[in-house]
Amino acid sequence: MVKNTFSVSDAFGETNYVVELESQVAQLTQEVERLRSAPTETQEMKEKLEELRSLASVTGGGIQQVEVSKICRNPNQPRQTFPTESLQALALSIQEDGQQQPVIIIDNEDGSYLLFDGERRWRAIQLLERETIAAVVIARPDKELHRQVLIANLHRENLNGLDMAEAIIKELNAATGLETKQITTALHTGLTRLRRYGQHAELVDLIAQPLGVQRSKLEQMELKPNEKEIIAILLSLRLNPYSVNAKTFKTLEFPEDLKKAIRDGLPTTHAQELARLKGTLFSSEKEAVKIRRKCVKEVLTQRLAVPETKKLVNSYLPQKSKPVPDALVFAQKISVEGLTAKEKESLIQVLKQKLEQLEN
Amino acid sequence: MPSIRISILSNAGGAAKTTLATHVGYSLGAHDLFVALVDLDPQGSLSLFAGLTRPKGEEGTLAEILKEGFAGNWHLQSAWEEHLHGKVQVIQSNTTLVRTASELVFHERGAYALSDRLADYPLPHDVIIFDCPATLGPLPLAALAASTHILIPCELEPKSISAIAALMSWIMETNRRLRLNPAPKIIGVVPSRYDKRVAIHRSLSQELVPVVEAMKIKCFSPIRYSSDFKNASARGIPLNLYRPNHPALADVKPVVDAIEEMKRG
Repeated sequence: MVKNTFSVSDAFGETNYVVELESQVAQLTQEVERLRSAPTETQEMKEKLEELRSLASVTGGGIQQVEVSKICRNPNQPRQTFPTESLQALALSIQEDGQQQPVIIIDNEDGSYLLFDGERRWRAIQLLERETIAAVVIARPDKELHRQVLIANLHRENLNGLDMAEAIIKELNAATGLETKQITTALHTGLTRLRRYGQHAELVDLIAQPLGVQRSKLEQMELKPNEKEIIAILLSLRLNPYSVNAKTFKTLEFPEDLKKAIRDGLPTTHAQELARLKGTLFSSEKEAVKIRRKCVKEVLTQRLAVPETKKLVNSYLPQKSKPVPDALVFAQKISVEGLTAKEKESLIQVLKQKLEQLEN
Repeated sequence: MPSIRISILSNAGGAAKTTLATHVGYSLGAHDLFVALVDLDPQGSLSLFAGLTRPKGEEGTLAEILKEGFAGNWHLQSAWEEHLHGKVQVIQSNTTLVRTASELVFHERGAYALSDRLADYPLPHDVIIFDCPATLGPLPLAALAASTHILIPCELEPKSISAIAALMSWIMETNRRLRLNPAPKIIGVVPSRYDKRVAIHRSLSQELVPVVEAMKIKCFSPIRYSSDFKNASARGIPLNLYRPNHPALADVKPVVDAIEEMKRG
């Protein structure tokens, strides 16, 4: 997938809360209009008018300064890693250029708010020891909160692979009741079967199709019920099931020390390379952990790129000597059928040269 | 049942507004609905796509219709007559619309000019499509005030997508400021000029769908890029007449179906 510095969900950030606010205002206005035509219910009308007035003072931008202490973080939000360095950089940026984007919060209606979007900003503001943060308030979404936040974050750039994997598993578990191992196995089996049946390309095409089309096309594919359900949900989240299987879910199998490293800021791509340092290749798992820890340190302090990390990993892997029999097998496989006279001549020349090399 | 009036809005140029207006209009006409295509773009491209000669002055154009003293002559021109026998009619525009648009800004009911004309001299058509220019000025404003529905075509690249995000905010705010009741409803976003070989088209298409659907707005399947659209417009006919079996026509079908369902119920 192409890595874009442009993010669609960020482009729609403003629009989203304008839409929310405008629809709230529209609803309240309608209610007032309705109440106006029923002269007996003056008390209700007064209250609604008050509500509308206070909302209207918020509309036209809609940004308020909200006390940081009144905002609770969302325990369901997918992002679980907040590397200190990154927060410090954000805090500095806020200090110098101001808070560029208000956070989005849901009114819990008991004086507190729930963070819907913007935990990094919320944490950075606290690092600056500020008391208030610029925020806009939206209505409680009617779909399950987790799915909403997941969708808001899923196609963002900087959610790390492990967080994403765990969030997707959580969503799949909630929707299907299956455990992690059952999910990853079902996905793998289903996708392998589709590849065998030549339906791989068709599946990938479904990613950008409307949900109804996805569902009906999936019915026609060779999938067991569990597999179908899992793939349907991944497609509805606009994820490529093959990428999720090959890359995203692999992070779940990483050893604990690597998982911790990812949470502490090691990029997933680098972690994938380091995962090749398996315990079975060394004298014990303990030794593997030691070597991995050493490598992580080097990757982070030396800021190694992925190819350099690959090289580093290779240097620790037991060397495989290239067996001579390979050349033997290859030589025996050379086909002398169907060659033109000229090709025959060239081949004889080359073989003569090789013979000379071997005899010296 | 009163007519469905659809504004095709997209404030990034080249997003396929006129192409969409032409092809949706043609298909609805071919399905026996009575359609009016109204050109609100001073560029007057709808005339080109409909194979009509663009009028030179103000006479016979929308500019004349929006002026004071309009007495009901809508100057409807039949498009693709031999095939549709008058089912699709066009109200043309040219650059004279520019001056009219700026005059609307100072008129007490400028935003409602189009809406007022339709109220005083109703059009008999089942579906009216307003092909709007790629700006957020007095012309799209007038179209919005006269519409029941909106369609938003969008190219799959950053500039277009940023633009329609701003457009949707503008639509929401305008609905409130002009107190449009009922406010025009967005039928959906129509990604256009889609080339599945281009990586950024694929990735933006994937990214766009959940964001649009989260706002409870439909995101149609993308309409593929085809140079045959250009070839058809050069001949003043829709792709349906130029290459009747062209695969791109299947991409437009869901939009046509959605509108037909709205009309026929």
